[in-house]
Amino acid sequence: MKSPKSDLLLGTLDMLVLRTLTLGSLHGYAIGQHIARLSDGVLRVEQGSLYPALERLLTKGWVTAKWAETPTKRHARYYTVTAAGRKQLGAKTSDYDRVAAAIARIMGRA
Amino acid sequence: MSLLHGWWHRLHVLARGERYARELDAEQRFHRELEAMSRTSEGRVPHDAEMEARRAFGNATYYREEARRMTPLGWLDHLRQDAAYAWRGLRRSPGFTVTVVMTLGLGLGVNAAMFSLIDRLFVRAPSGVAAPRDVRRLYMSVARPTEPTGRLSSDNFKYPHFRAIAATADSGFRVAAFTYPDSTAITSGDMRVAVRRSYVTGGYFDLLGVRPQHGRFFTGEELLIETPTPTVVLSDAFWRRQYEGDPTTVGRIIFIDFRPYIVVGVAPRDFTGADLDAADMWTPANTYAGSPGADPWYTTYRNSFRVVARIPAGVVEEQLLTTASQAVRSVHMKRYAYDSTALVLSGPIVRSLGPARRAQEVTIATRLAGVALIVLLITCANVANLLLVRATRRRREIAVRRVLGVSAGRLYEQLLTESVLLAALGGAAALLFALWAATALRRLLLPGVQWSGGAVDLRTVLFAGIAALIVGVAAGLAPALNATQPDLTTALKSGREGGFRRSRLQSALLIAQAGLSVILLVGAGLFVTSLRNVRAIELGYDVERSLFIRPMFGATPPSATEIGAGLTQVGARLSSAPGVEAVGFASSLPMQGYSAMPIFLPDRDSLPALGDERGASFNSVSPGFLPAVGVQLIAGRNFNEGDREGSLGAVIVSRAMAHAFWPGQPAVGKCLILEKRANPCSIVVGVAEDVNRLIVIEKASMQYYLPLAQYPSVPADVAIRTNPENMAAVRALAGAELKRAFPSMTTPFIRVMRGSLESQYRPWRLGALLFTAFGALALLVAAIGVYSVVSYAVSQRVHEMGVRIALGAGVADILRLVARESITTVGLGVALGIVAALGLGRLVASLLYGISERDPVVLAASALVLCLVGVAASLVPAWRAARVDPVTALRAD
Repeated sequence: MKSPKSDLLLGTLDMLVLRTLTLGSLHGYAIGQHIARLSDGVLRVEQGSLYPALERLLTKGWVTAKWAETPTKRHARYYTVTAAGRKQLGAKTSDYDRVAAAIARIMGRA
Repeated sequence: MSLLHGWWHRLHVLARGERYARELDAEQRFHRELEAMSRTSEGRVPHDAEMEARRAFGNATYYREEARRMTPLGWLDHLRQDAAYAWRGLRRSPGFTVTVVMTLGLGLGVNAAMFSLIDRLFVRAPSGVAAPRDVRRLYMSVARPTEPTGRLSSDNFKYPHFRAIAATADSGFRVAAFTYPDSTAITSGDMRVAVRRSYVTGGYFDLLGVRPQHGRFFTGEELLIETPTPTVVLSDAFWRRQYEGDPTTVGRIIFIDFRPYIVVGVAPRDFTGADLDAADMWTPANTYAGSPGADPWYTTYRNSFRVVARIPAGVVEEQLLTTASQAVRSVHMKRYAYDSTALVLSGPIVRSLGPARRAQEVTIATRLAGVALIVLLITCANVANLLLVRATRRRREIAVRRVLGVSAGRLYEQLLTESVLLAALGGAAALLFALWAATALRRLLLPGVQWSGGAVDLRTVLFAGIAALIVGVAAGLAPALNATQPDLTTALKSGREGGFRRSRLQSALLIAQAGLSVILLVGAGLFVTSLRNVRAIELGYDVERSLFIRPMFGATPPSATEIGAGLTQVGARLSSAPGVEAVGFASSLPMQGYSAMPIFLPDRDSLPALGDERGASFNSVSPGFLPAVGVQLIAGRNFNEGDREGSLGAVIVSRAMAHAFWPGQPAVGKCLILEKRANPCSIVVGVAEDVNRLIVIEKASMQYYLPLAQYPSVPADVAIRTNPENMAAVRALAGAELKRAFPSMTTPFIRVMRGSLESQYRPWRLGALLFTAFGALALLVAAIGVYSVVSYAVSQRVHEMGVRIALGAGVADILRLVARESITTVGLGVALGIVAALGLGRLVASLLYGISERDPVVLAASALVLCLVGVAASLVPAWRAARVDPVTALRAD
């Protein structure tokens, strides 16, 4: 029942969510679907950790949430990235690039 | 911007509370539905798809909790949630809740009441005094060989002492004197309003840093001692009570004990004097009406003042005290024992913290604070035990919740919240109880004190709150720790009845309760026995049937001779009245004071003395007096009309005196010479039973009686002996006869001897009452503890009992089985308690009378009582166990 708590993974999920939200306002399920689809099913965001992550982003002020109607006339909570969130995404992306490059170097792939 | 969004969200969550939680649920439900829909579209049966979606989602409760934990100010949300949860839980088991809240209410309430008393006695400086730390109370220490330390310190100064000290005070160092508030009355026509007035020297208010709220304090001639300046300053409370807070009261003339005084000012609201006792009014020291004498009162010892000093920064206090000591030693007063070793000491303004010997009541108050603490510990142990039983009963529930994903920390918080909530309720109950108890304690312990301020104030409320919180956490900690770490598998598997019997912790708590209760019971036993011993002391008087009546007069009393003549008349009329057995007069009333004069024996140079060096004292009595106060004659005769002026001097001596003066010989007929060796013999005509001279507990003393006709003295009271049935009628009759003899008389002052002695029994009565009350409380709480723990243990073993009964165990076997365990526990506690009581005994030894603090009977009786209560409390559930129907019990699970 341990949730992924290493900084890298937590940070990565936040980054993925923020990146996904730059496409526009989405609800939680759509966010998960989007990540899964783009990664060809490699990254399956455990829905149970998606919502705590969203709550965290809300508290930090990087996203805002609003209940709205879906095209199928149902109520869903839509998340929108804020200006601060975009700035954070930039910072996280460059961090990620550095780490990814470093790992690649260690693995002898660069 | 980011911060703003974040905080907006926090606020939003906080404001919506439970609704936000429902939103989160709705969001996740929506998610699962979409998930299920997408799986259905992949060709799976809806039910499977739903289940799969759930599986994919993971542990919903856990993640919901996680999401909630992530929400801002989650802790506050938690707290609210936990409190609501705890409240629901408590409402589900009202019996448990009421028991715990009541126990806590009593335990905490007693402590809150004790706190308010101790706070006022020892901690808090008198209100309204500016910078009270710089104000010192002065004490005088004199040599007194009879004291254990050889010296006696008191805050009682004679005015000449104060004057000498004040004369040494150079600029900066200030002293002021004031009297303990006396009881007098505001008079106008026939109306009398009782008030307490304190005489103060100039500079008293100034020194204490008090400013008048109306008018002024004393100035000019009012500061001088020689000429009375009848002016008065009223306290705020009295001004409001009597004059409805009318500012024009200043300048008015009021009558204090028939003498006119000008009201010059009103003290501020929070000031009631420098003592615990509130004063209603203050008048200049020069209005002090000393006993009439040749010398002005302020040059004699016939007065008593307390002294305070304000010591400015930078002045060495020791030097001032040395100077003051020298000043005091320079004072010589007529008929006042001069002490060349006299020392002036200082202490805090709070009198109970100073070097003066404390009243026995104050000593009792400190012991009772310890007792209250013991009661609190017992309460704590009991509440912990009840919580433990409750937590254990909920083991399965807790295990289920753990498995469902509630974290240990969360459960822990919830259990602790429950106990803190209970403590809060208990704290509220405690304040209600303390409101009553603190007032009762004040009245019981220090009835003479006219307290300023209410018994329960903000500090007491604060104390109760903090104490409740500590008790809540302390009592909740162990059960919470115990319950949140169960072996889940065992707990779930074991079904309704766990393999649980009684934890070691529970036994330890029971042992502690039993032990502490024994200590209180021993205390109760010791004080009750002391009280009985003190009451059994023969005083030599018939205290139940003796009545003393004194006529009281207003502004212009008749002369002493007129009063004497009138009383004789009244006595003659009363002695033939129905219901009256004897009427008499004496120069001093029993245990109200005594006189002495030189006496001689014709054939000896020195007189034998009893252990007490005060020598023999005498009383001039009318023939009716000894019968009127119930003093028995053991030889010879009483005085009669023949023992009059001019006839042969007659004496009645006490048994102790007869024995000391003429050992082994009959005293009747012996010769005693009074006043001067050259005087003729007075003949001993009778021997009377010994009587106490002043107080209930005193060494035997020598007394002799002289005929009032031969040694005249002006009596102030008439002593009457009657019986309890006629008491009221005789009182009324005597009042009417007095009014006839003295038309100018106001209401007479009537005392029954028993009543005026009652105050002397107070320390023991107090100890007996309070220890018994606390002991009974402890016993009750301990009984509840044993009962609930044993009941619980029995309910857990119904199955086992069923098997035993099915196999042929009788009622007695089951009773023995259940009771044995609790008796062992209680017995162990009792043993430890007795050991502790032996150790603590010396703390109360000085308060006991006629019994050792290690009295075996009291110790054994206390142990026995507690063991019996333990057995009784465990027999009820044991009896229930023995009546278990084996079939039902075996089928139950």
